[in-house]
Amino acid sequence: MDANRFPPGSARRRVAGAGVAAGVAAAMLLAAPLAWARPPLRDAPVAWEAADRGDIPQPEPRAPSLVRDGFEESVVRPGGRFFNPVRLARHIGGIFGTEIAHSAPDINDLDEALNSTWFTNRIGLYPLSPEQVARGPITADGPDRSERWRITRAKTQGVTPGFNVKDARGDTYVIKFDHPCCPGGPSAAGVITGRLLHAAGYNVPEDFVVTFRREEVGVGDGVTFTDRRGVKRPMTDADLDSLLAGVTAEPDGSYRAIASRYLSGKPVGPFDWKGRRRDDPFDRVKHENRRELRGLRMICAWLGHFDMKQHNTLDMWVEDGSRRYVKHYLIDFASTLGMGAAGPFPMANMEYGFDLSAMVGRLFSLGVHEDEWRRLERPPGLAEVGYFDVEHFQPMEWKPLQPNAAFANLTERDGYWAAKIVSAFTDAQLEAAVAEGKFRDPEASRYIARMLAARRDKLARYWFDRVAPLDFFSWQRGTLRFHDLGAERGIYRGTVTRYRVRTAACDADRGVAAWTDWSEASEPRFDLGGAALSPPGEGASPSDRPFLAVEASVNRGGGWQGPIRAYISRAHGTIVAVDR
Amino acid sequence: MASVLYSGAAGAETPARPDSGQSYWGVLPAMSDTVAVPLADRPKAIWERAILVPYRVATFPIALASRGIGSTVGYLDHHSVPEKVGRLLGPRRGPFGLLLDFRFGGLSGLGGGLTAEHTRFLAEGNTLRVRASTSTNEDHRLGVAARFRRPRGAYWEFGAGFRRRPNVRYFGIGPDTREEDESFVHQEVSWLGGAVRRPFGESHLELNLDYTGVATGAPGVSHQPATEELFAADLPAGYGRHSFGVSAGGQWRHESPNLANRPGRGGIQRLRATYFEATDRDDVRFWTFRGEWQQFFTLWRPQRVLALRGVGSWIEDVGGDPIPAARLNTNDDPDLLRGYDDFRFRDRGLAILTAEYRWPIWAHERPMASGIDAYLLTDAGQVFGDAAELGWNHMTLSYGGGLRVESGHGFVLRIEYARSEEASVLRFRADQVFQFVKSGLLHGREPIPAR
Repeated sequence: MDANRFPPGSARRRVAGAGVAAGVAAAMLLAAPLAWARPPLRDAPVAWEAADRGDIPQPEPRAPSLVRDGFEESVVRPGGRFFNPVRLARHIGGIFGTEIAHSAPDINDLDEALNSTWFTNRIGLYPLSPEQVARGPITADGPDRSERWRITRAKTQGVTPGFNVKDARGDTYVIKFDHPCCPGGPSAAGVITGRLLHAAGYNVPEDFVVTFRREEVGVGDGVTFTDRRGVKRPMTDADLDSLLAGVTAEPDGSYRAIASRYLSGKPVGPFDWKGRRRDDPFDRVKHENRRELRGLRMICAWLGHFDMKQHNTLDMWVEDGSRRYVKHYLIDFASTLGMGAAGPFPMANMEYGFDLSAMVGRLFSLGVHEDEWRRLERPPGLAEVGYFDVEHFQPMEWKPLQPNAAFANLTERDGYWAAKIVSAFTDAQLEAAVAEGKFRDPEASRYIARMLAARRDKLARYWFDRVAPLDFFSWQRGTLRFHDLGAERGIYRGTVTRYRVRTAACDADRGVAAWTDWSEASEPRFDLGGAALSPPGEGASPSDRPFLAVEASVNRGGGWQGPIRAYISRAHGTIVAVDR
Repeated sequence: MASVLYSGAAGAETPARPDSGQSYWGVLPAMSDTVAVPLADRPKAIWERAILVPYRVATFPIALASRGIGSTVGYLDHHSVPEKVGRLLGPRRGPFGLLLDFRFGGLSGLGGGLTAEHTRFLAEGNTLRVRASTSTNEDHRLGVAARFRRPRGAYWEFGAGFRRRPNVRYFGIGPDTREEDESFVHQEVSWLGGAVRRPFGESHLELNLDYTGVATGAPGVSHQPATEELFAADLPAGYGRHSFGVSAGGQWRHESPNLANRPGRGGIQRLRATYFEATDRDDVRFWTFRGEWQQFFTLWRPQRVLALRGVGSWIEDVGGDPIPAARLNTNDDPDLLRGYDDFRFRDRGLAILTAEYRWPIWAHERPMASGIDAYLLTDAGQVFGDAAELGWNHMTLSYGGGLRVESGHGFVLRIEYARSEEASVLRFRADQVFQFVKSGLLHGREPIPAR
């Protein structure tokens, strides 16, 4: 045998193996404390805005390949994540409390997402009326009907036909028809989901359900049409007739569609779920690390929004006063609420389009195992509703058509943040949003609203069981108050709830002096007295420890959950940070 | 005048924003640049860098390769290549179309071909097909055929073709031939024929008349040993010569409806009798009788399918001279013994029983759409020279498994691996043992032996 080669089991190989094992073990040990490393406390106003609206020249429009994107998101990137040793170490470190990814950088000290070109805090922070939720992003009342719409562009390929029209005001709308399988369903789902995503905080287009008659639409000048043979030629009225012939007309002969108003600004292509936009110097956080994109996974799970490929996002270069910057939108919500742009199918929301782990599982199960999605059924008698129920909804089991890096990076804090937003929707708000979908069958409206509420509660319960939903702390003249979102939002009905808190002087690095004893109460309100800001004890002077740490726990009969730690400025009596 | 259905929230106040003041956290500052904070990704921890740097270096070639594949996919997509190919191979809109043939493994090696089709040839409903394929082992094939629609669902078919294979194997005749007696011959087959088919409900009757020729000789230098060396003292009948002749036959075929793609029930039954008479100087005359039965059963769940196939074929010699070996029954498409390479056994009789258990492992969005099925297979079969040779002691057994890729409109790609006591065979084919569509002249049927 060649002495220079390493035979199996040689000393060198054993040493190398031991080195790898030691490295992984060290990583695990290091990962645990690092997971909890937080920025130092500051006695300063909490930030709410991200400085990402700087004036920039128009970025180069992105036009990623749909096929390549599918290949990368379904095969390459999941493979990269699977074999990534840091993720592996973090998975193992999960035993010690390590998260799968770093905490999102675009959050403030209260663990809230910053307002940015991606996200605006709405229902998560502000009480909205049902009317506000229903109105969503709408600034006008839909396409102007005083004159005929002029078609400016026809879409003859793809799942469903459609066209762009310009109305009398000069606004352009994308008109998309429902698939013949299920008239009313995709358009209703598109509008409802748009309203809910807007209330959640995302940027979405103004979508409307419209009906129109053939005579209300005409073909504009210079519009081209691609016929069945793939030949492009000027569009004629006959082409419009043939296009509408493929659409299921309403009983009165009119046509129902979803009208999506062109976004203001110039489109510069979709955003990628991974990395940054290099030609936007203010896009400084990798997208897979953004709180609102990670948390979107849970919001999409709630809405059954499975078609989350990057082509259903759009970056717009917008003008805002003297500044022009990139604003990030989510678009096209027809494939939501159990519906699909090409009709509902049970596998949606349950499995990736190309789900290697599911395939391997099925391969080795020899067909004995039956997939849950094969047992799904649509609600009987509701033609406008697809596969949308609560029995088969498991928030963390939900899968979009393609996995993506941001969703894969969801941490418990991100999940809780999303659950907080979802749970903020009241039944009345959901019913108001669903009414905007204009289902033809009122029972379909009631069913969707009921399922949204039930899925909301299930999702909230999932996360509130893992992260104590004690939130929105305040300190006023010696009284500590906080909200128990689980109790307030009816997630834990029928349980007896107890709360307890304790306090300690704390330095900027979160080092505490002696904790007080726990105080218990049946309400999330503790009158600790003004002296609580000046706890006695060695090293507890305001100069050494300028903050007061408050730990709060909740017990719903199954033991104390939490604690959640809030920090109060001893000088100003303001909440400066919250740790979960 | 139709109306915009949106109306419910018209006139409502605009949604609250952070600058509106009161939030669950109390009064928040108005939106302004003074309270905006610049963002940046959190730096990676030292331990993460320590692990990631060598990992990135080690996996750089993989990353490069996947990027290259991604770029290629992107380039092709940018130039609409998948769309154009899909239009060619997918459900046809115009009269022209292309079909892909692909194979890997077995005696052909890596090979592929193309079939061009015109479905309005001379008149509506007529089809013309021109087919060509080749492989790394010089398995060349060329064929042309036309089908003309006739009244009452009947049609006429005419076809001609040629196939040249430099590495057809010969082990001797009979079920007891030895593995170590593997030898090779060069074989060329040509045919010209016509058929008339007429449906009777779910059944078809077919009458055919073919003129066929087969020639065998020394194999290429890369395929040794040659049969003429190993079997110098007992050369197979017809070796080194051309055998020409006319065959006439009839076939009854019954096929259940809805057997395309992934059949879950129903079956196919065929009975065929063919008479061959040589047109050269030899007195070669024989009958070929063949029966085939295929049946599909859905088991305990949808798409868990047991597919069974039984084939029996017998050549009854009625001439004065021996039947050329190339015209005898053998294990070749579609009568495969999948744990053996093609042409392992030869004789006048052939009996094969095949079972496949199939189950779905992937479907593109909808259960019956394009997808992948897995299957376990077992083939039991043998050749025989007389009925006394039929029995367990001569029976060969193959077993294995594979994956079937279904396009949703009839195109099937399969990759399978099968073992027997002699060999392990990996096959990658664009056809299938069940529902073998190439049994008609239009699809390039090779009438030697008569199948």
